[in-house]
Amino acid sequence: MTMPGRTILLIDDDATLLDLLGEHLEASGYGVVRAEDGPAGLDTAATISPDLVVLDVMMPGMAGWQVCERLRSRSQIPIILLTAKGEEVDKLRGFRLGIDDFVTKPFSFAELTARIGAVLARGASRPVGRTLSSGDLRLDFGDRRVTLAGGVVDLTPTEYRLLEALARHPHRTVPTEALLEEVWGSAYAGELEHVKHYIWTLRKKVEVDPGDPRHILTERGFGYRFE
Amino acid sequence: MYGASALLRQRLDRLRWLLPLGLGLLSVFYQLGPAAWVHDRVSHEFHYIVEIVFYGLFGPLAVFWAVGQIRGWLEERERLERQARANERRLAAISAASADAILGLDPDGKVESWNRGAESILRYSEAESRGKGLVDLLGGTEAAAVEVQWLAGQVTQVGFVRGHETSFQDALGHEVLVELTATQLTDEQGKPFGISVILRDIGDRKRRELEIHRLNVSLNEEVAARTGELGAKVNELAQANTELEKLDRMRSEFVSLVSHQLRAPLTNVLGALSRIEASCDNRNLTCARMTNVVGQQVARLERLVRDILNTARIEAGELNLQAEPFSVLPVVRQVVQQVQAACTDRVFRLPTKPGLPMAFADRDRVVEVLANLLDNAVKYSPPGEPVAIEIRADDNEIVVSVRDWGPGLPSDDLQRVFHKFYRSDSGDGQAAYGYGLGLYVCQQLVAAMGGSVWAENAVDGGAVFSFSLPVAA
Repeated sequence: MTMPGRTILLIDDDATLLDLLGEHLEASGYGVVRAEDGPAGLDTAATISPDLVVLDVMMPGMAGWQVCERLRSRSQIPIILLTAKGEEVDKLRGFRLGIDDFVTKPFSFAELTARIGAVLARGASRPVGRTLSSGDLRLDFGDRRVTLAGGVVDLTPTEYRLLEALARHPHRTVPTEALLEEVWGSAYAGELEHVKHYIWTLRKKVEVDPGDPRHILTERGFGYRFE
Repeated sequence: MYGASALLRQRLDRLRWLLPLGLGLLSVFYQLGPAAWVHDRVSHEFHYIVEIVFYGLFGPLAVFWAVGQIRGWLEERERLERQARANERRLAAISAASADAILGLDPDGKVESWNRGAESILRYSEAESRGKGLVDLLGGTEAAAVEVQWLAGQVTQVGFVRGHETSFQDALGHEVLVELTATQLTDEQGKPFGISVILRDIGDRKRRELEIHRLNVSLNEEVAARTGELGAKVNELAQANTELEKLDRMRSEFVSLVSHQLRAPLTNVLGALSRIEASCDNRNLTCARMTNVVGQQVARLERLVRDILNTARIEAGELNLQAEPFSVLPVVRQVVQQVQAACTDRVFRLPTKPGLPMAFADRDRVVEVLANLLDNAVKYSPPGEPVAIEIRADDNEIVVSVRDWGPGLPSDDLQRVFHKFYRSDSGDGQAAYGYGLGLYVCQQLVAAMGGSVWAENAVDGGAVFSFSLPVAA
C-alpha cells in the first residue's frame, strides 16, 4: 500500500542509502527530502513539515533517539526507525517515544515501502481529537498515555494499539477480524483466540472490575465495542 | 587434741564448783523452808524420813551422775584424739604422696619436713634437705636472699603468698622453675611456729607456653606474609578484572560496530538490486542471472552476519528476549511467505488447525528460528520436493516441526548437528546441513525461551527439525 503525494523525510548518515532509498520512494510516488545528520533533519522537518520521517538510530553526532525526542516534542509526525539488530532496540522505549515502526537492517526496499504505507494509513485514521474520556478512563492519543482514575496505566504497544483501534470508534462494534487485521496484520486472520487473550489482558488493566467490564464490551460472535 | 583436753579441764572445773555448791544450796533451802513446815505441820517422824531420803539419796545420786558425766567426757576426748590422729595420718599421707613439693620450714626458714614430691623436684633426699635454708634452695645468691626476705614479709603480713613463680636450684645445680605457695603456720593461740611451702614444677608448662608463644609469633608472621600475598593477588585480580571489563566493552562495541557496518552496505546492495530490477528493463540474460546470484549471495551473507552476531550475543550472555503471548500460526504463515518470496518454485504445506493455544516467547526470535529451519529444508532437499510445517500442542507446550524430503541425517548427527561449527555430511557428496552456526543459534535461542530443539529422520525419508515453546498461561 503506498500513499503517493506524501512527503517523506529520510535522515541517515549513509549517503548511498539516502540516494537509493530516495530514488525508490520517489519511484513509488512519494516526495522525498534527504538529511545526512540529526540536526539537518530537525531543521528540514521544521521547515517542510513532512508526512513521515524515516530515521537511522546509529548516526554520528546526534543519535536517532535524540532526534526522535526532539521531533516528538514538536509534533506527532509518524516515525519509522531504522536499526541494526546488534543494537538490541528496546521496543518499549521506542513505543514510549512514539515510534510507529521499526525496520531492521538489512531490509528490502519493498518491505520498508509497505511499512511506510501502513503507518501513513494508520495515521490517516487516527482520532482527530487528542484525548478521549470515558468515565474515569482517559486516553491521550498524542502522548499514547492512558490513565484510570488519575493513575497511569502501563500498556504494552500491542495493548495500546488494540485499545486505540477500539476507542477510535466509540459506541460502535468493531468486528474481531477487523481488529486482527488492523492491530496484527493479515497474517493473523482467523486467530480469534489471540484477540480474546489481548482483550482479557487489556480489561485487567483498564477496567475496575475485569469480570464486569464497563469500557471494553463483547458483542458475542461479532466483535468488541468501546464505551 | 589440745582443744579436747582444754574442754575437759574446763568442764571438770565447772563441775568441781557447781556440784558441792548446788547440793549445799539445796540443803540450806530445804532446811530454811519446807523442813520446818513438815516438822511442825505433818509429823516429826515424817520429817526424819524426808531428811534421810534427801541426804541419803540425793547426795549419792548427784555423785553418780557427776562421775558418769566425767566418764562421758573422757570418752569424747578419746574419740576426738583418735579422729585427730587419723586426720594427721591422712594429711601426712597426702603430703607424702603429692607430686608437688611440700616443705615444712621452721621460723628461721630452715627445712623441717620434706616430702617425696620435694625429693623428685629438687633431688635432695629428706636427710639431705634437713636444715637447709630457703635461700640455699633458691640458689644462695643475694637476689635469693632478697626474695626470701620479701616472701617472709608477705607471709608475716598477709599470712600467705600464692602463685609466685620463681626458680629453685636442685641438688645437681640445675634450675627448676616452680610456682610457689607459702602459708604461715600458727598454733592454737595464733602464734607462728613455721611456714609451709608448696612448690609445683612448672618447667614443662613454661616450656609449652614458650613454644606456643613462639608458634604464635611465627603464625602471625606467616599470616602477615600470606595477607600481603593475598593483597597483591587481589590487586592483580582487580587489575585483570578491569582489563577484562575493558575487553568486554571493546568486544561489545566491536560487535555493535561490525553489526552496523556490515548491515548498512548489505542494505544498500539489496536496495541497488531492487532498483536494477525495477528500472533496468532491457537487461540481457547474463545480467539477469548475475543479479540473481548477487541477490542470493547477499541473502546468504545476511544470514551469516545474523548468526555470527547472535552467537556473539549468546556467548556474552547478552540475549535480550522480549517474551509475550502470541499465536504461532500467523508467525508461521509470515515466515513461509518470506521464504516463499525467495523460492517461488517450492511448495510449502501449512497446517490449518485452528484453536491452538498461544505461545509465550519472543516473537522475533521465533521468526529467526523458523526462517533458519525453513532455509535448511529448502537448501537440503531436491527442488520440486515440498516442505511441510506441522504444529501440535498440549497444555504445556507447542511444537513446530519442519519436514523436508531430502537425504535426512546420519543417526550419529541427529544431536551433533546443533553443536557449534559442526557440519553434517549428507553422505551423497552434496552440500552439508548448515555452516555450523545456524542450528546452534536456533538451539540457544529456543533454550533461552524455555523450549528445546531436536532433529529426527522421518520413516519414509527426509529430516524433521522440531522446536517447542512454552504455552502462555
